[in-house]
Amino acid sequence: MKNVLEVRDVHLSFGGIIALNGVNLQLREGEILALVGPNGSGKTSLLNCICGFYKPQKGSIIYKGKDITKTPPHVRAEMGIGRIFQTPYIFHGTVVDNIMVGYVTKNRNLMSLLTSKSTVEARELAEELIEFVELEIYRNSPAHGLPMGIRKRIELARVLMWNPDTLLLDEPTSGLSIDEKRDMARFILELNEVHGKSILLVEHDLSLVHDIAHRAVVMDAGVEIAEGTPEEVVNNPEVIKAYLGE
Amino acid sequence: MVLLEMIVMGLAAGTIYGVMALSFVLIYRVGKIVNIAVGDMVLLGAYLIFAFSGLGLVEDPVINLILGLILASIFGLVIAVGTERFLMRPLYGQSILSLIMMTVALGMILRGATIVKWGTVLRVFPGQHEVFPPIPFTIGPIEIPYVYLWSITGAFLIFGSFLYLFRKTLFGFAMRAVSLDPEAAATHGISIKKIYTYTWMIAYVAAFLAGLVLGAINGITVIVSYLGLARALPAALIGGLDSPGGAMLGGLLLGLIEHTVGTFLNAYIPGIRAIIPYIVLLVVLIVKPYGLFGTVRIERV
Repeated sequence: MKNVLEVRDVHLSFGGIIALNGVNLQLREGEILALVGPNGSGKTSLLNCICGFYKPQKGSIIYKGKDITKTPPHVRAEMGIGRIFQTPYIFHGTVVDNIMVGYVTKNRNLMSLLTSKSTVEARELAEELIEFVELEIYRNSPAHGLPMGIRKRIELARVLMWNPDTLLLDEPTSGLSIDEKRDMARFILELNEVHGKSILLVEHDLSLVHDIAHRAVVMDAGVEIAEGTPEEVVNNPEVIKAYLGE
Repeated sequence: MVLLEMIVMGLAAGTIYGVMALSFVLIYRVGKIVNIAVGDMVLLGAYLIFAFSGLGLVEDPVINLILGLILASIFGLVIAVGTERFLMRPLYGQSILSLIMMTVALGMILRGATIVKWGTVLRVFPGQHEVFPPIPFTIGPIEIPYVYLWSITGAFLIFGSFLYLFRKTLFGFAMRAVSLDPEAAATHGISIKKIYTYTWMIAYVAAFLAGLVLGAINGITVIVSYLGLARALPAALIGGLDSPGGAMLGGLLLGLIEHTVGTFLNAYIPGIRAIIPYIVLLVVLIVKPYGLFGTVRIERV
């Protein structure tokens, strides 16, 4: 399988604090790669570098063979990278409004964004995705005050509006109940197996990683300490040391 | 009957305060920029409408003035692009104070440019007396100066268009998304630079419409700039800095109080009418620090 995304020797620091210290990572086409590690190990910072939220001081990000290190975040999205945040990013409006805004990535022309034709198209697509994430009953509810599990699904549906090939999911199951976690895992698997999305999954729940990920990379203190199948990494002494100490 | 007339006049004047406040609030809501240049944008609009309608492209004075407004607005779109690209964009990510100081500089540049081009002599729009006849428009027993009919119509059009844009179109959704968190919006595929530019465009067009009305009421002179800021700021703060609907309601409330309470008290305390907006502002901010419709910020500690 060829690599869809490559992170090469990425360094990122904030003042004197080193967040990433020469990280290398490859996401293969059609796989679910889990990125695990203790809090503060640099997982979210790495996702932020990949989607363009942060600019690394050194190193490069290659997407589908193209160096995107200096590409603006909205262009990376347009190229096929969709990212969901640990705390869902939801603006004041209904559930369907919040999902429809993802259509802007597909169609950048201002004039067409003002027409009812594009609004109708976006609404139709949003309705399909509302069905996919099973939010039919919340369709016209104000999105801002909804529970975390619902807001995570809204954000996932929004990202799917522009049909990205690659998904960066930052702790998609954190703060969810067991049932909600199961549903989210089902959506992730369907996106991977049925729709062929390559997925980089930041996740603390190792049993979920074990169940759905093809490979896992473990990070600690801004560096990659282990890589392999989920079974291999959880038994790796370095990983045990990072999580439990000496 | 006098009171009813004062109420109608107050609401009519309030519509244009609301339009200026909308211009101010939009820039704050989307870009988190306190735009001190709003009054100077209003002034520039008045002069540009004066200049374009002075070309006399059509004979009918009403159409000529509307054409002047349209051409000035098109020119305003270009200035909006320049404002965002060359003055604001280099400062994104810098302190709020830097952005405010840049708007102060923008105001000085715009005001200075009008003085260089048109001097300080009071001017009136070409054909002003035909477009805004001195005899007021009468609805039953109420008399309203014609300029306020323009104000009401213009405010209705611009506010209605804006509300449609903001609430019903994908462009409006993108604006709302950027106003919440620009970096996250960019990650979700929205070009924030474009949204900022379009927001400045709307702000300029709204300010130019206000320039037409204030210029017609007061004559076109630098005083329009001070009046613009002096009314836009309290109207925006009363309504709530980040609420476009609140901006219009703040403007209406301000106009209403100014033309009723202000006019009444002015008979006893000459000059108080000019400071009434700020007294109202103080009362509102003491009772509701985020304005009547502003977002209450809750911070985790």
